[in-house]
Amino acid sequence: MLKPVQFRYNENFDPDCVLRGGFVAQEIREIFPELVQEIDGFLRVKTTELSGYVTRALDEHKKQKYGIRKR
Amino acid sequence: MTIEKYGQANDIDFGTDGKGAGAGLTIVTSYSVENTYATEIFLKDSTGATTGLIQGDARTTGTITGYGSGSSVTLGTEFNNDLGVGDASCAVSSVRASGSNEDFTNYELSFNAFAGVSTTCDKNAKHDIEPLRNAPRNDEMSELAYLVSELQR
Repeated sequence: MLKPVQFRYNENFDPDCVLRGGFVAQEIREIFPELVQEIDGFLRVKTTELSGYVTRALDEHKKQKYGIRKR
Repeated sequence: MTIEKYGQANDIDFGTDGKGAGAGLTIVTSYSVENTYATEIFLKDSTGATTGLIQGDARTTGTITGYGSGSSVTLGTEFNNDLGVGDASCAVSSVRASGSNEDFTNYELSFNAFAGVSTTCDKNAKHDIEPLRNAPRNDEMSELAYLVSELQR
């Protein structure tokens, strides 16, 4: 199960150390390896694709919770 | 020269109390990691002598210092640290002992991770990543994180 987290990048990556929300790329890679790519030693999450998965999960959740069915 | 391939995993948790002798460090005093792109790790014993070599795809190197009643951490040992940012699979590449009293010896352990990780931290770094609570919803990823969080309630 994906664990939403909050974190701050180290100062080399973000000098302002802004608090951010997101996920741990390594955890996403274990579940959805196709959503994570490694570039120059850094793992990057394909946000747009992840958004698709979350949207689908949200739709499923709504269907289950509210009993919405296609006619 | 001995060539080892990562060694045997034995599930060491640094800084965890109650592990007793032979399980690593009881009191962690510092912790640091940084990126490297070495593909070979030289194993060094407590006197600094090179005793072996690990061949791998290491991208991160780091050091943990702390006190323990003993260190059974052998060179090449693979362990899982609890930093939680992906550098979970590491090999101990150097063990150095310095200063001791009756019960504890100060050890410095260097390690290399196999997976790509970019982080620099001190002993408090493990608190940098925590469950989503109050991060601003100011980008797509944080918005997704909150959505998933709400779905899981």
